[in-house]
Amino acid sequence: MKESALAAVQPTVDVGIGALRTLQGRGCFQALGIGSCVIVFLWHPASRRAAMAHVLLPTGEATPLPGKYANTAVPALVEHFSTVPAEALQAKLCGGARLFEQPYQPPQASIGARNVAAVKAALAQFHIAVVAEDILGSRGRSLWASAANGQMKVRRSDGTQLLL
Amino acid sequence: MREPSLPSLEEIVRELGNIGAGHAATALATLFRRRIAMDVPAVAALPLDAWQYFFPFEAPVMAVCMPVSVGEAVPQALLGFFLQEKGGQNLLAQLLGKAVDLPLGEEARSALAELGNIVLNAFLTVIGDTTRLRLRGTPPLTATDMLGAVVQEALALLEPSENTVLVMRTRFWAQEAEETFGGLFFLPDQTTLAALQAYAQRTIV
Repeated sequence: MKESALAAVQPTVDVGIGALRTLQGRGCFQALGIGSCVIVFLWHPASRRAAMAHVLLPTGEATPLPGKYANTAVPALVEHFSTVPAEALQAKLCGGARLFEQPYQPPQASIGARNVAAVKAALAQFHIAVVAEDILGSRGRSLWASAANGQMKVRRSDGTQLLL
Repeated sequence: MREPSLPSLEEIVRELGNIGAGHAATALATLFRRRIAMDVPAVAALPLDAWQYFFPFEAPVMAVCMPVSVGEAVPQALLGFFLQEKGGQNLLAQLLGKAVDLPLGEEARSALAELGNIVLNAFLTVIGDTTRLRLRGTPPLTATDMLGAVVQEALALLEPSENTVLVMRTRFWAQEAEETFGGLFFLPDQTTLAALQAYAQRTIV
């Protein structure tokens, strides 16, 4: 955590499984240890408003955790930007890996791949563009994302890092 | 002297942890013919979005996850166990009686799965006895990666309806090796969670 310059940005907001968090103008989201979950980061460049959801599953019914399901998380994220046209938002995605070997299951049927597909379908309904992503694969990830400039830093469990 | 009161879910988890750790250490010592001790220094009952911050490390872990079903139902609960990678490597070397390299080879992976299987079944037995439910573990899944990443994938495979996770920090000692830190977590299904809460209600401490 300390090795990330973004993580030194205050306030740092943890986004755990199923959580949905928002920031305005400054601060940084962090999500540690992402496997098959998908992190959806929405950012509005003009107002520097930002929101992040930690999606565990593709679909489900409303729950106390608004970010838990793709079909409820994306509308809830968009609602945060209610005064902004959804088309003006930028989306960045991270996660959707498959860590457990399940030889009987094709990659596209993994829960991670289904999460990614469900999130993209929900974003498409609102005409929100995915401007960057680090998805699928077989590695866990941690990420930090800035509300000030919309940058997302991803660190994979093999040590490689990306700036999205 | 304090008044008798109903225990919290957390106190029940502490009880399960202490009994389970004793059973697990005995079973491991028998299988690997080594002196092994295990204890549970801290426990908690936490919401799904906060549980992983209970474990103060992000480094890779060796994890074994076991989907659990009540009776013949589809598995909807998850029991999991993990060790910090470095400590896990040392513990597996102690158990196998020889050096273990990373990433784990087939023999070490198999030993990890067996170790996890024994630990998890010891705890499953204790939870089953406590709740009076017939809990069945399914073949465990193993992976070495970030703790949160491994566990959330195992959780997602079950499509859990509950949002409470019971967590325990664990410590192992095998022979003369340094202590190995890890943890154990249980995401109960609705039936098991209700049975644990009912157990708390009828237990006066």
